Amino acid sequence: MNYSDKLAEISEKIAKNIGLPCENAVCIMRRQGNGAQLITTRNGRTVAVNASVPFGGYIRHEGNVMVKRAQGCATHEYQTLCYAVVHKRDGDSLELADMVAAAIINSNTRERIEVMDIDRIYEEIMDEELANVQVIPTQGNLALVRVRFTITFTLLDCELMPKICAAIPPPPPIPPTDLQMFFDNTGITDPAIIAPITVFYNTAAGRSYRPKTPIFYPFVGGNADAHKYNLFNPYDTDAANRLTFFGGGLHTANGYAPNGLNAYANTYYTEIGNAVVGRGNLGYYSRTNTGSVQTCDIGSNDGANSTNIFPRVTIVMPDRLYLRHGSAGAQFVGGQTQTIRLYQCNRVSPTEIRARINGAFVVAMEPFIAQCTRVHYIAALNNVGTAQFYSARQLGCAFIANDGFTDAELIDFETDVNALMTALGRAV
Amino acid sequence: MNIKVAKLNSEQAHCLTNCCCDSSGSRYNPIKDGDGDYIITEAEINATTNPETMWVKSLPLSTYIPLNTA
Repeated sequence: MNYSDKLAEISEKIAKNIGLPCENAVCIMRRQGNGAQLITTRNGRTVAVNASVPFGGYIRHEGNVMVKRAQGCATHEYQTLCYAVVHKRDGDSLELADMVAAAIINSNTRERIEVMDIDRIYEEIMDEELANVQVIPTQGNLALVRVRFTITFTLLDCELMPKICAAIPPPPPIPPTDLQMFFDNTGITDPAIIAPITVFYNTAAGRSYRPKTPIFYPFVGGNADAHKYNLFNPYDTDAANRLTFFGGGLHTANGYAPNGLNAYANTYYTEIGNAVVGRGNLGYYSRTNTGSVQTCDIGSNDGANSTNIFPRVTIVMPDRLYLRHGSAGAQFVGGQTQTIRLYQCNRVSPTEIRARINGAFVVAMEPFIAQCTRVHYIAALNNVGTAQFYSARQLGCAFIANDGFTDAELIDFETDVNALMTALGRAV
Repeated sequence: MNIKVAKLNSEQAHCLTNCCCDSSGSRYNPIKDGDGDYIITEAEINATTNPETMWVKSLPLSTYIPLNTA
């Protein structure tokens, strides 16, 4: 006998054999799509099929959901001993069952409603063991909620429904999106920050660079506790590449301001096991223009291979941009006149670094393909385990990607970051 | 580099290395100055809320002496 047959027989049995007056009815919930449907029977005959209730605890979300009306059904008012059968999926919680039960019992008491397997109920009902059934949690796909007292309710547009729905326990919290979790964890409530971050987040979600980019630090919130979070994985763990700040850097409304002396941040990101060999992108948005100084804004060196950016250094000659991505040798681009805005040290080729620096493509030949084994630091170089070459450039954001960006992606990312910086009032 | 710092002895520097200064998880980073003494910055001292390290707030401040890079 299948589920539907069992349901029908239970309904008939209850109506006929539990001694209800003829005007009383049995209400049964059955699965309909992703919800449950309230079926009302009277003396074994179905008299109303209505009140589709979405499954999973969204009753409050939809408001007065028990008033949905099937075509042709009139308003009914019942006094009934109600058995509600709720079809639930394996693994789901019983919020619907509980809340339906709560809705039903709210007009009387708050007695807890248990559930039991339909097979068990079927057997017991067929054996006329209707009273004081010991309920057990169901392991199957069906659950029966048994209400052992009478209620009075009207099915449609009744005054009672709002009261019942208002008393329904709130649905379980909907797991927050990463974006909401970011705001929750950072404690950010300022609309002037939430709006641009949301726009950036949603725009990035539609970009092809986004799946390549596990890490983006927007440095919003104005304090270390907020600035440490990775927007794209906002958990307070090393594995989520939550930053640990060291030293005397300052945290302001404009971002992270290291001091060029002892301040840096550990990203806990290594290329080994994360990045595609010979490919990747990393960088930052700098708000500070400096001269030719031996300072690094992001990266690492394991003694053999390096990935990092020194935006303007004097090595043999002044004003050289020092780029490395999976390099065993340094690549220099001369003639640097500033150190501001977005730097993307990007690699998609076995033979060259194809960077995007402040609106322009910068190509540096790079024949080596390797990965640095050290974690990347921000505002300093992780030089074989020691922070060195501390930078004093204020950063509006920083990022790390596991794979190289195409030219179009470099431009898209630059467009999106520039828009974010402008919206945050950080553009320089 | 006109940064205010506080000098530390070796024991103090060892105590503060990798130690959290506040509830955000931010940590001290004692380094050596041009005199060969360990220092931490005024910013780290100001950020300190860790009850175990509040003693840093009583350290006298002075101007950082840069390393001799000549």
